[in-house]
Amino acid sequence: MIREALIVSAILFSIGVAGVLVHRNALLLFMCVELMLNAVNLTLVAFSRLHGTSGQVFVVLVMTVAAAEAAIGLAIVIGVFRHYRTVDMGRIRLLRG
Amino acid sequence: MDLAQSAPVVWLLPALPLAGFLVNGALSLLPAWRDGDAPVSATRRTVVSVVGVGVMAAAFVLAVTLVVQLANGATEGIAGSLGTWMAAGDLRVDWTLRLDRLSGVMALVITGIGTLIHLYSTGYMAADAGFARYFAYLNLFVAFMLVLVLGDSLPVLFVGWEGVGLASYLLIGFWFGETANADAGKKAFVTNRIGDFGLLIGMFLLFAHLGTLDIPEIIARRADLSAAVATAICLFLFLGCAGKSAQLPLYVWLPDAMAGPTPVSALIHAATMVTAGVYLIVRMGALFAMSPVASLVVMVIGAVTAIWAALVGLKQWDIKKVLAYSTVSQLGYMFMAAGAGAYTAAMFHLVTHAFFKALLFLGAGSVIHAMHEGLHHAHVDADPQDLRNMGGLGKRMPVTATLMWIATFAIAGVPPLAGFFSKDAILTGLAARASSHDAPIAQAGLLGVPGSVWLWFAWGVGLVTAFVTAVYMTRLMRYAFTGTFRSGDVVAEGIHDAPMSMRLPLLALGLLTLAGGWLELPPVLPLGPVELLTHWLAPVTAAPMTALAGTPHLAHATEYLLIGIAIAAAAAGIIVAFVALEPARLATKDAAPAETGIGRVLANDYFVDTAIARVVTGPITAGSRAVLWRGIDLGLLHGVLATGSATLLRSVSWVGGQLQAGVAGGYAWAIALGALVLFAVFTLR
Amino acid sequence: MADVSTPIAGWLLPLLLALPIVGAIITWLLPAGSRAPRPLALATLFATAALATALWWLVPQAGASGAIADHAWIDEWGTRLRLQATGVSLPMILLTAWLMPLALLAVAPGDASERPQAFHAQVLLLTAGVLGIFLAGDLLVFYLAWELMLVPLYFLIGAWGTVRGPRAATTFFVYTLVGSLLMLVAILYVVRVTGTTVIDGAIAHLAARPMSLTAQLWCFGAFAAAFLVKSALVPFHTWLPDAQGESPAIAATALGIKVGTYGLLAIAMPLFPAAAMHPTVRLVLMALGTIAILHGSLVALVQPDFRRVMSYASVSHLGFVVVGLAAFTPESVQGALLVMLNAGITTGGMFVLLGVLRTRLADGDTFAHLGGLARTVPALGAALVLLVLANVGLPGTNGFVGEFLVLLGAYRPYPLFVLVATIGVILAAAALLRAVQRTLFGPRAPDAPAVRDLSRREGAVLGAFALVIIVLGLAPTPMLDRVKSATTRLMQTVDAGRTALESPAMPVGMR
Repeated sequence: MIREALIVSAILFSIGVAGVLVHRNALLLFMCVELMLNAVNLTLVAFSRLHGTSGQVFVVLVMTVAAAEAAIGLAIVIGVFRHYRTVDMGRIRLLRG
Repeated sequence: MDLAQSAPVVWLLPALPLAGFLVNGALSLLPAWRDGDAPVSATRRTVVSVVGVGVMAAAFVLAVTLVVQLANGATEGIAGSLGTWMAAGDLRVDWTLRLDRLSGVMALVITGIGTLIHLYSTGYMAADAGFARYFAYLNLFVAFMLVLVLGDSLPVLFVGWEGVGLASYLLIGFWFGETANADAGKKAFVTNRIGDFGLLIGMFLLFAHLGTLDIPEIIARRADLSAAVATAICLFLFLGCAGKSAQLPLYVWLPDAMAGPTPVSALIHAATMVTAGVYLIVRMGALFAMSPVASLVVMVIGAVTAIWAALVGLKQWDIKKVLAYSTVSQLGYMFMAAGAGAYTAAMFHLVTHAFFKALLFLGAGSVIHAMHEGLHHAHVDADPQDLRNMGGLGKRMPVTATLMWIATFAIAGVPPLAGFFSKDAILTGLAARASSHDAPIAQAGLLGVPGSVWLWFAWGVGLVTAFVTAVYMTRLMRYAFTGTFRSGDVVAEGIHDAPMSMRLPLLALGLLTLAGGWLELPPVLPLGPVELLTHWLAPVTAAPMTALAGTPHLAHATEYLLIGIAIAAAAAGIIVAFVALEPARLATKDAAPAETGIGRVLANDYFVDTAIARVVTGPITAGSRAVLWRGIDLGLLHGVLATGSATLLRSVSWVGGQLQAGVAGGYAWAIALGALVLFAVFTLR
Repeated sequence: MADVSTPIAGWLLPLLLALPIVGAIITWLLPAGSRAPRPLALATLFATAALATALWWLVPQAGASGAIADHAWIDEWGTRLRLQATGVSLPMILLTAWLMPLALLAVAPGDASERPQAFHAQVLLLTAGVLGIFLAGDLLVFYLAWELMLVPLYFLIGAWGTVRGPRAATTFFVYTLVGSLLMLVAILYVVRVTGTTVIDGAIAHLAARPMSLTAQLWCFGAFAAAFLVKSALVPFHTWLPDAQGESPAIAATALGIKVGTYGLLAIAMPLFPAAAMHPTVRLVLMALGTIAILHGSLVALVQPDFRRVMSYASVSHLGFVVVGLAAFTPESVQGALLVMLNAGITTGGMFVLLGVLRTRLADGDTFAHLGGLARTVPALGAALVLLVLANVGLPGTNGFVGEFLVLLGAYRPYPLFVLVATIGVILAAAALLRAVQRTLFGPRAPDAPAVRDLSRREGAVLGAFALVIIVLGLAPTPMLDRVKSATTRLMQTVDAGRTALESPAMPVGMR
């Protein structure tokens, strides 16, 4: 039971990572990041079966953080779009050193 | 008498002319004295002359005093030390000068003839704006020359050796406004330096094997040297002598050195500096006696040089160039003698040559001076030094002409003038050694040929050269002084004999040329006390002479025969010059036809200068420019190392730069990869 | 080894460094338009020179290790703030301390007319850096001073030089820095092995417990990389002609002070004696030195301007130093030290003179624009001739003594190399006399600008140079005496390495 959940969560996580690495569109990046977070949530829930409810408590925390992060991130993307007229992350080099 | 103590009075000898240099040099730099090209005022000239000639006369008096003191008992010489110069490791060199019998002779020649030439210069250079500078340099030269001959150790000698090279450089290029003159000075200095290389290596060898560079020490310890090392040392030392004394192949600077004022040529390039090489060999005679092979080399090169230069003299038109090649040739005689171990004969010829060659140069100076005035008077622009422009000067310059005829006969070897006796001493010495059975030098072999053969070769060359010498000198005299004047009557009006300041030294030298032979009369011609010089120099030269040549002896009949042959050669030369040459048929320099054939080769000194430019200096300069500088330095080294390290840094920074490209996706990749690596490390550990 | 600082040295040596640094700060802070920078800098430098001269009497009276000023600093690294003046460093200290003010005095404000505060501050900082190198008794102090020297030179060449100055400065900076970084690695390794950066301490430690031969060779190589690049030994010399050619006179003069070979003699050789005395190492150094002697003169022969001629002549002089150090006999090592001192004086003097010339003629050292100057500026001409003669080693000048001792001493161990190297005296004369010819003799172009002769100030400085040249040439004994005992001790330390090299107990692998 747990094993299947873990496999699913691993697959979800990998899809999420691959998506982050490949996509350039900011919104898609966020979706993939959410996917990664939810994969981790799944892992936590699966293990809470073994180790008690603290896993599920952690899931609630992760969800909260994910929501906050998504809100702020999307706000930044809207701000960037207003200025640069694009959400293509490959074209934004403001962090260039 | 113990002379190891400091008696710095010897140092006074070079100090006097050095003081003259400092005073006149400072005067020449004073802003008030720099008047452009105008001649110096009479008052200033007097000041400079008094200082310049005065220190020389004082030095001569001192030299005489010291030599007299020497004669009265001190065989080790009079030494004086001013303290240590260099002391490092095993080396210890002191500032010590030593006036012994050998250096005493040199000192007398230098100061004596030097004073005469300084006096002459007051007249010759009177119209020159650089009057003070000239006397400063001339005094500097004498100071260094005295250090050279009095030096008690090779480094101190070397100070004088290079110092006279410096003075020569400054004096040859005295009229530096013309590039050619300055170039001649530079050529002299650099050619001399090639010789100096030899002298330095000789010193290094001596130090490496004997641990000392003091001349008396070296001579005392010379038995510690193997024959091979001794030969090597002598050959390197001879390289130095060849440079300084203009022997083959390092003689090329001497003809060019005629660019300097004529009294300079008289003093430096006839009487003193060029004889330094001969002096060095005689001074180190004990070493050369250890190596018959090296001595043979010296002798052979001297012989070849003698005839080589004499032939060139046959076809020179510049009066000074004839004398220059003559000097090279006569130096060859001296080296022939020194090489054969006849040190006294070499020194004898050195002294007599100083007399008559200085006389010839100063006489030529009078002629040139007079020609200048004549051409100036007539506003004609022609070469005052070219024989073709002269002729019949004997009528207008009787004193100069007479004295120069005396000197000509002396150099040709006509008895009873000084030159006859000295040349005879050399030729007799060579023949005696050649026919002796126990002389080491006769028994040694060079390039497979026995020494006795080389000695006869040298004798033969000496004889032929005597003939040629007589020819070219008589030719010079005929073209210059006999016949009719070729540059026109207007010019002739301006020609007068030399003023008194120039005539007195000529007269003095004339007397010395007449009487000089009495310094060393051979036993077969006992016209007075015999072999004075041999006896005087015996403490220094007797032992090496015996070591190298045994006690060579010729039967009286043979000696008279040889003397007769030599006189015949001289007479033949003079007669040939009178018969075969036709001064009347000469055209002036501008109208003269170009030389052809052998004459052209001789006139251009066998094209040696062109050859050197094409084979040595040209390739070195071109090679340095193209290969060493552009190719290696700029191209290879700078390109690879300097630019290379810059490129290396730039590429490293480029990699770093990529990590900060600002593309968030790249950072994501980096995180992912890093996580993977860490994961792998921790799992596989 | 004396660890006790004599009372005088205790304040004299730090003051020697502090004075120029404080002077630099004050000069930097002067208001724009002030006329004080130059006099202030000159006063500071001459004061430093006076202090340095006091060392002349102090050093022989100090202990075996010379005059020492010692202070605790970073104990965790075994580092102490230690300044030291020995018989070996004394000539160089004196050279630096006197060369800088004289050079600054002679070359009138021409170079420094823009932003004089910064210019003079840099000069003072440079002096401090170079003095620090010679005074360093601790490896960290040494390294700091070594790098400190780079910064003011970079600015002087780049900002106050010719149009090509910035490029030359950058090349110089990067090239020498690469070498220095290698040296830093070696220093760190030494610290790890000996536990201290105090030079005498490290030497003593390594004498008692030597590193393996391989380790010594690597470390020596690293130090040598830094030193040989900085001193411009062939084949690492190509930065020098550009740097000296495009820099203001004072920087060019400072570049002639041979800090690299000092480091080689006083630090690298005693620390790693087995490597220094290794036959291949010595052979390589001999070969490079000999090549440098010849290459320098040959390339000098064809240069188009006088400063580059002198630069390459400098490369040639350095060859003599390296030959002397590699041969390692008492005569040759003392000769090498003298060449370092004398080359600094003669080449420095030449750059000063050329700087003076450049205040008269804008393109002052290109031969195309010179010629026939002896007629109009005889005093300058006389000074030039004397300096050139000292450079080619005319006996009686200081240049001769060092070169003669080097060649004489090197002959016994390496006769063939010396045979080749002595040819250098011919080439040097040819190259420099050609330069003199083009400058002083021959006709002067009628449309060439007029040149003033030396002013009293310039004449005094050049006269000082002339005096030193002649005095050191005729009477080098006092200097040789000061140097002798320190060099003997140094040579003993290094020689001990040679015996250790031959002993069968020498471990070969890495420690």
